[in-house]
Amino acid sequence: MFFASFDFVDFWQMLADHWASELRDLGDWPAGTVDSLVEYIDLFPLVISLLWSIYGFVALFRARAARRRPLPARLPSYTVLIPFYAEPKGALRSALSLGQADPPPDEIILIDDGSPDGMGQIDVTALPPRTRVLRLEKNGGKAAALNAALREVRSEVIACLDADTVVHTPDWTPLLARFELDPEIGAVSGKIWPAEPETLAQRMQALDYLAVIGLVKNAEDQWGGLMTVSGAWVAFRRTAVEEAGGWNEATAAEDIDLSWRLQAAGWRLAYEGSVIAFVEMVPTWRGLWRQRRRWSRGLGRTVSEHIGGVTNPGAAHVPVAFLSLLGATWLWTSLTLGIIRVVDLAYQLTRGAPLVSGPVVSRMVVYAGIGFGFFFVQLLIASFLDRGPWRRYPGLLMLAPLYPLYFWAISLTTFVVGFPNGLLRRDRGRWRRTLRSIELATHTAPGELR
Amino acid sequence: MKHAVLLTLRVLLLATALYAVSNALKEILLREDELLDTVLLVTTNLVFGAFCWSLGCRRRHPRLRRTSDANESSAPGAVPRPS
Repeated sequence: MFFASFDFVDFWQMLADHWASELRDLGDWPAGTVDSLVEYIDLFPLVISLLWSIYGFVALFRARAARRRPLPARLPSYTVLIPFYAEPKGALRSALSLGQADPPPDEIILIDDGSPDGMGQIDVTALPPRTRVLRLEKNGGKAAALNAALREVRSEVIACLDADTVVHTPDWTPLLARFELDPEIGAVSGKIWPAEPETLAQRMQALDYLAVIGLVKNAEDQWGGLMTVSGAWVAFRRTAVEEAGGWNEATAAEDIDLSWRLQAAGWRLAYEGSVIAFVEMVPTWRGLWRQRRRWSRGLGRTVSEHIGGVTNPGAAHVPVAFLSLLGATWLWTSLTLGIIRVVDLAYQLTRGAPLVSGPVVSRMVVYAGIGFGFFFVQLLIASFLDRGPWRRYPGLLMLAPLYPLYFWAISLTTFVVGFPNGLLRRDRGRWRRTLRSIELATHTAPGELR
Repeated sequence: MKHAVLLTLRVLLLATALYAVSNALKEILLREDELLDTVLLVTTNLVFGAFCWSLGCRRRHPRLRRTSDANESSAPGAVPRPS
């Protein structure tokens, strides 16, 4: 009935007019162009949120299909590396979380990266079977520690675990199967869930991991490349890491650096959402700011060194590199726009213009409201993807209205400071004495959360 | 040269996709067309955007490598799975 009365010619004409009018506005230099660009800048976060949500929704069905996929006849062998600095209890706890791993690893290597005297001592009697400690005399950073262990590994897959991370899923089959089923896969990033958030800073990070980071990784996995694997919980194909020359010891974000180099060489990075590890969130705002600034610096450094890699034939990270550059440009322009708008608003107020009915303010209120709406849709889809932690920490939902504030206060400021710093300066990835509490409990029995 | 053209095309497709999705959002937020027209414009823009985005994400030069190189099936410790 609807199709019978529908005039397709009319509709295509309307669509063509719609696009032509948008392009005409964009080309109407200078006023039309500036207005259109400002509109696109304002809409960019909504567009990205929509993309993440759509692909997150698709991921719900893909996860079901993946469960029905036949497993390979064999699984690659693997070794787990746990580098640590002055954090022996954390490293031991991470190693103990691998006790039920199925299939078991060839070996677990705890790498003490030159901890000060007495601060790297591990109770060797408590170590699980097939575990050894590799002690490095000099502190060279996480990348140097991983490179030292890489020379001793013969397994096909190398899993890396941070000393603040405990593996929750005993069945490693889905993760290892990805390497066997697709010879193009160079690394598989596992899913990270926040461990028992207590402080407000930890709760906001938990929200960030559950509502944003997990959804982003899901989307990127479907786009064919990841912006970065999670250095705290990731498995690499050994030959891929060796081909790439190992981890870069001259950067503070070795995971981003290696991710881009592997993808520039044509390896694909994947995200496996069914293999989960708990990571302790940074407890203080100061520690969090430093961590995020390090990430931004690492991204800046990686972009400056490896952006040319996207032009390689077979490079897998073209979409994520494109979005990274666009995101960086958006952050700078929206910051500039924000300053201009605040100055303009102050000027209007001094001339006696009413605050509430000002066009700038009403526009900001509308966009903020719609932004919240999009974030809640994102939250809803993320909660379907990760039901376990949302059931465990339902209070996080109450903090959702604060998330935009957290995003602007942490992500924007650390990016504005860290990214240019990384673009322009060389840094070295040295360990900082951890601020985390050591007593992260292996609080859930495997299988308790689903 | 061919690769440069393909890469440019991919980036153009990705940019077009974002442009189409932005137009869909603008249609929702800023325009006052009839409801049916709005729904149709938004849907078409979103579908077109998704199509361009997925085309832009596709690689033309998959990494060609022998499976045996990547998998090293003779490596020590490989775990055969029960059939």
